[in-house]
Amino acid sequence: MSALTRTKEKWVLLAPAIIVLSLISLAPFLQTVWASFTDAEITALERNSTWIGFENYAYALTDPDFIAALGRTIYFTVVSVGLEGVLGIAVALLLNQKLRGRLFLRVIIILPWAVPTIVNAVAWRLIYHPDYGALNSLLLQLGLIDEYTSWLGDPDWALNMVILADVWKNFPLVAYIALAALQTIPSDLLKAASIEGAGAWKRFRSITLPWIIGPMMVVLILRTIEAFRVFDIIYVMTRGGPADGTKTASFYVYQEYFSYLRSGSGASYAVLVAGISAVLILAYYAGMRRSSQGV
Amino acid sequence: MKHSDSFATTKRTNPVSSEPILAIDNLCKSYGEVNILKEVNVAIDPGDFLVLVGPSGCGKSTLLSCIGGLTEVTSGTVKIDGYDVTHTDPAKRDIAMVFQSYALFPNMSVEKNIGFGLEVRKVPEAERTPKVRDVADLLKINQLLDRSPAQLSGGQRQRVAMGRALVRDPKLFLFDEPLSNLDAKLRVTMRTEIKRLHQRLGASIIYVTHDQIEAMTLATKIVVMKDGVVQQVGSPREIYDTPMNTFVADFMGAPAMNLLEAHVEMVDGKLRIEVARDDLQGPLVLFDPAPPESVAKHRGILKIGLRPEALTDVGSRARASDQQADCLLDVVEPAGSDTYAVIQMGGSEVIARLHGDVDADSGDTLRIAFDLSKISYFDAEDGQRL
Repeated sequence: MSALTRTKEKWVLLAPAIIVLSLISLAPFLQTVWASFTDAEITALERNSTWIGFENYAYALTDPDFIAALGRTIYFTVVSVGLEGVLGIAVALLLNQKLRGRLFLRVIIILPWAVPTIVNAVAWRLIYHPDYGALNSLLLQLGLIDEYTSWLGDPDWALNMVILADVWKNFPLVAYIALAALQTIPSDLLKAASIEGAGAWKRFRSITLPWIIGPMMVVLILRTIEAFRVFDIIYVMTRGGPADGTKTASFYVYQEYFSYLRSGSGASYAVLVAGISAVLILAYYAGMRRSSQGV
Repeated sequence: MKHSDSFATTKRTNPVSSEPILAIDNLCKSYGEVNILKEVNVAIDPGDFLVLVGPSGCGKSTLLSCIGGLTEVTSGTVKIDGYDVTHTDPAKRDIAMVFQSYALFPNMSVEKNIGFGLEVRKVPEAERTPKVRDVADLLKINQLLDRSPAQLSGGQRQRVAMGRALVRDPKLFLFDEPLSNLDAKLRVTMRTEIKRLHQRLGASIIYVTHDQIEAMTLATKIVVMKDGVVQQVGSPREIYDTPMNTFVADFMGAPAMNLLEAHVEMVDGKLRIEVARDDLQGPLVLFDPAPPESVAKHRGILKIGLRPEALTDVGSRARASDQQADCLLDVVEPAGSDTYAVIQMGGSEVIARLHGDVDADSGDTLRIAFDLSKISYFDAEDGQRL
């Protein structure tokens, strides 16, 4: 086959994917970018939107509510991904031990992750329920609180409680990747380290962690990107409340679009959030490349 | 090389003590119902090079693992330098181990790998660096210190693994089949190097291998194991010349010792040994003028053991005292310096080690000289030495 026909063949084979992606991804994206430079609104009436340049962006970047929402998003991302990392590795280390019922534990530990986000969110809303939630009951019986508390009703607590629910759902993924990575560590390495005098912590720091850091980077960066876009769990649990206490960037965009119907301004927020996500994705690729080059 | 010399001289002056550096008493190890090690008793003196040898699954690696503290023992004790370390953490046994897989830490440079044990023990860097460099000099890997293990060849990794063991100057070195992953030529080179290191440093070494040539060449003391039971403990010469049973006789030596059924009885103060054979007229008859007492009172069938070099062509290596007989050569295998000939007798294939230049072909009848000075006798039933 000549080089020319081979090139043609490539394009023929790629064409369906390119067409579909253009229709469902590229076109809406370009439309959004375009809208972000206009004062478009979602109305029932026919209304011509006008080009207003960078006005939306100028407003967005000085909008204290949006900046606060970005701050909450970063807080949500850092805390939830951090906890998922620590908890995931800890659970993986546990599941990698020779213990009775290990297979059973390995199976049930994945369950939270297998549950749809919406179901998880509803379940946790029930757990946090101010009148009959399991959390209140547990804490009261343990004597840690004196009376039932509305965990999601308290602006200071709400975001942390959502983070807890999110960590619960997502740490199994991290644990599974960590477990898979742990199982590839040659046992001789750990034996050699212990003969050389390394205790459990030193073995973890010097052998285990460097060995699993590549796969961990991949899963944690993926989780970071996901966490940064967090929307569904907040929609179900708090709708951004109370007092905007859980309003993250994605939720802010959603409100701008669908509550205030300002599609032009909403588009500019969306583009900004997408831009930050793109930076995170680039970081992910960089991390991937570093880990594939080997430690 | 100045550094390495100073390293070698500061290495150790073996105390002349009667205390064995390693003493294993009645050691047993079982996994559930399966007994891997059965009442193992071994002791070595400081400076000994002990080789644990046996076929796959004989428990030799498990025994090493028990000595290293990597495997919990079921019963019995392990003492290192007089201290009972049976339940001591590996880190606190003052041992070093070289693994078959080398077990180099992939995320660390060669220098860090070698210095790892010192770093863990909080030896300051100013002290650590010269020690690492001395060992690197000794092993001729000083140009590799900045590399990562992935950039090294098999032989170089092997040296780094040994460097990591040597640098801490432990009481006991454990080697778990360290040469098995190397190609044949490098294996021989490294074998010599390990022997040289042992001679130079006088370290106490426990070495596991399934290769009986490695065992013979390296050891000052060999433990032959089978199915978790120690078959024989002795110097390479003892093991080779006076195997305690047919398993040891067969396992040690290449080609293996010839074991053949024979009918024996005392005739005129000599032991008459009659070996049946189908290929030539009449049996092979040999006389042992001085059989051991346990054999002299024996009359009937037993197994005799003759090393291939005890059967040779007349005129090359044969000695005056040798007895001679014509034998039919079934197969002739020239191997350069020697020629091996297979002869059918006593119900088995007997290998004779002939002179390399011998003029003989398969199917020829050749006069063979039998040297009975090192003949072994085994019980025909249980295979134990008589």
